[in-house]
Amino acid sequence: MPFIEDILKYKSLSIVGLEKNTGKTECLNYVLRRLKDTDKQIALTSIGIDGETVDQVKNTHKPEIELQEGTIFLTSETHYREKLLVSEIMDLSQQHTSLGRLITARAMSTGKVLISGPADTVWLKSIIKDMASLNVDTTIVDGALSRLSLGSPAVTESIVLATGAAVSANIPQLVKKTKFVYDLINIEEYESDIKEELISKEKGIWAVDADGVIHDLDIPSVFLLEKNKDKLFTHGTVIFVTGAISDKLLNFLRIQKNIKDIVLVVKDFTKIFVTPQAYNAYLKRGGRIRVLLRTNLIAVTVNPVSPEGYVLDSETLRKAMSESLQIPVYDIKKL
Amino acid sequence: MTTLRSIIDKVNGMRYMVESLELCSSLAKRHLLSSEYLYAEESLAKEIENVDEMFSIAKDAVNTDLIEKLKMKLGHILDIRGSLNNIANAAVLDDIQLFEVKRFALLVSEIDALLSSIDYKTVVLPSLEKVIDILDPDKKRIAHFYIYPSYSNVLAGLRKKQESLKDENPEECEEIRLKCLEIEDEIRQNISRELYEYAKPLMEALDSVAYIDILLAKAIQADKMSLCKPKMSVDNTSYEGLFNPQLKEVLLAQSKDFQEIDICLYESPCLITGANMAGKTVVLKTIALAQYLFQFGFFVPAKNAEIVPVEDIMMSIGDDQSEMNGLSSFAAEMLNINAIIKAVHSGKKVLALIDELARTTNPEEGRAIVNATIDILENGNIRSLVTTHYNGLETSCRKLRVKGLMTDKITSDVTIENINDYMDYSLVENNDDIVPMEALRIAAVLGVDKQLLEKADKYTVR
Repeated sequence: MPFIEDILKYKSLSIVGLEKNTGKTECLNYVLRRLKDTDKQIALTSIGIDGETVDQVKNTHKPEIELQEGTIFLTSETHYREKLLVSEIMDLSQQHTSLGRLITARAMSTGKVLISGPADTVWLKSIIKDMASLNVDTTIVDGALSRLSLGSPAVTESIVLATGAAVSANIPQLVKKTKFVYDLINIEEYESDIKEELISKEKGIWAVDADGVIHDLDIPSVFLLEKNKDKLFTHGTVIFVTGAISDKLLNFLRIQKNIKDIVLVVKDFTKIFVTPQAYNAYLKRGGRIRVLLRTNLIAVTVNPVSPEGYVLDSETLRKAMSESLQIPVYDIKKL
Repeated sequence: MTTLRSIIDKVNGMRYMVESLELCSSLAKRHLLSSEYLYAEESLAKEIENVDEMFSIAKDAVNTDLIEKLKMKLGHILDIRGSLNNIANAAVLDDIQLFEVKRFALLVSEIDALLSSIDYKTVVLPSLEKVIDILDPDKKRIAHFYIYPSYSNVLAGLRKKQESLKDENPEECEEIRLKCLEIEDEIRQNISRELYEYAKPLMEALDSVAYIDILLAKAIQADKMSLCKPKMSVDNTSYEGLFNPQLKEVLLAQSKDFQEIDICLYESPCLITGANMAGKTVVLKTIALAQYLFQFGFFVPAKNAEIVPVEDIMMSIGDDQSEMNGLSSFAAEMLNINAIIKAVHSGKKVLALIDELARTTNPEEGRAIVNATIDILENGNIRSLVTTHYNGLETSCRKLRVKGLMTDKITSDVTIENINDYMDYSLVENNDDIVPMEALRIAAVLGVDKQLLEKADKYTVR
């Protein structure tokens, strides 16, 4: 049973697909199936989807997540009514999602259900916390569509990353793209006593000086960096950016004279929205990047089948991926 | 019909009072906002007594634990009117609605048990035991719900069979699943039919728990804000230690005290004069607030209060957004005054509160308007309070004056920050016709241009 033991070490797990059709659901079903044989209480939910996608998902998707008897799940009223299993309602949220209130229920038979969850990560976090009162050991969050942000360690403690032919039908390309995300997930943690203090900052750009003192650089946003160039290094070269990191920021830092001293600190890997080119160029010039919170990556799974029907050779793909990432990689169809 | 919702933003400080109520459920909030302005003495007295009873219960340290539990239970109550209407309309409920009803019925029975333990009988909760029985065939008394196998042996058998056939024979399995759905639907129909009989007690229970929530919130607010139980009076409305809760809190945040005032309103107009910044408008607004709170069955912000219930509270306090309606401030004011005069003529029992009557027109005509209005107010079934800066009024009505700046106590420079320390906001009887002349002095405190002050001083007829 690959990686099942690892999942149970954490209170929460999100399963995140790099693209649609990367086998996220298969991966989830595998995990749920295997967890049945343990004596742990599992809960499953998702993160809501808004706007148009709601209708898309509602109309084109049929329930496909297979729950085992005894599993607790949270889904919207709309999806609850479409379930194909017997389940007991345990709770009903006061808050509404676009698909109605959220229902907490326990599967009383094995069967399929569509899972939709809270609309935002704040609500999701409180749900994960509340699961303790139902004696849930691990809450699994289905990462609905490709939303890497869900993999944030601020939301769930661990992730499983699903990738596959849907990302690219060319094995080297696919490996390269996955490796990049893998690298981001594995960015080193920023070790410091003031970490908690930095985590609590919600906006702005900050510097940490040699004595570990935090200074507000008074630069409202990374977009205004060029205008505030003179302020940036007034308190040393450890720069903490609370918001998103873009190519523009990395490119700007890269051409600074003191690039080799620069340590760019971000909350976690989900704040980094850069191309591999800009990222690698930044590192190559000697720039460093660190995260405050690191995610526990439990496994990488691959789906050799693309939505267009193209099938990659499972073994070649798995090996190539495994060699590049230096960790075991699983073909989701063969688990 | 005047509801709390219709006046909450018209009466200064009312929203503050409502928002600071610690209501446990949003159901109670909706009920409260739809509650009616009470005039009939009997219902008003009963409402106040109900709050008072809850006040004594909540204040008793013996009940601390119970109140906490009660609040928690009330907090879980959801507005399930939709599901209850379905029951009353003989519709079939789905699992989610049945769950709502079951959880509600269990909560009501728990709340009832808590209230019975202290022998509370004022608000009687109907027994929903039968409803619970219908929705809890296994007698577990846990607020979970689904179509339990114990509803039907056939269903139980089919479900088992379906589970065992899952991997072997998916087609037969699907057939059984559909059969199960059919039986489940039948059971839902039966349950809904059985519940129909209890639609009324369920609805009553919903109203009653909301009412208990409201009483408790009013009682707790009364304790926290040091409000008092108003006594019903026939002749005079009088307040001892009247204060404005919102202003008191604002001042408290600046480490200042709100100076409480005593005031008595007879069945005749009463004029209030006083310097600028002496708090005349605050007095009017606070009296309006206290009267409204009383009529909606709240305790009132004073040490002691005796209040005459009135049919209507009418105000002309100059912060109407009348410009928005294309009216000049004078026109808006006159229309307000006209409404009050009409009420006087109709013999309605009214409390009228008028701030700086006719202040926006020339003093000569303004004074005339004040005189005339007071003449008319003297002859109605009306209690009124009129503030003014005018002197030379030819009325014999009662006059009060805000003491204002305590000139003898001023030791250092008076500034806008500390002017409150030198103001005495209390009201005194003022039977001569002298109005305070402190406008220039206060303007100086406000830091108004020296040249202006000097010139104004020259123009002042001393």
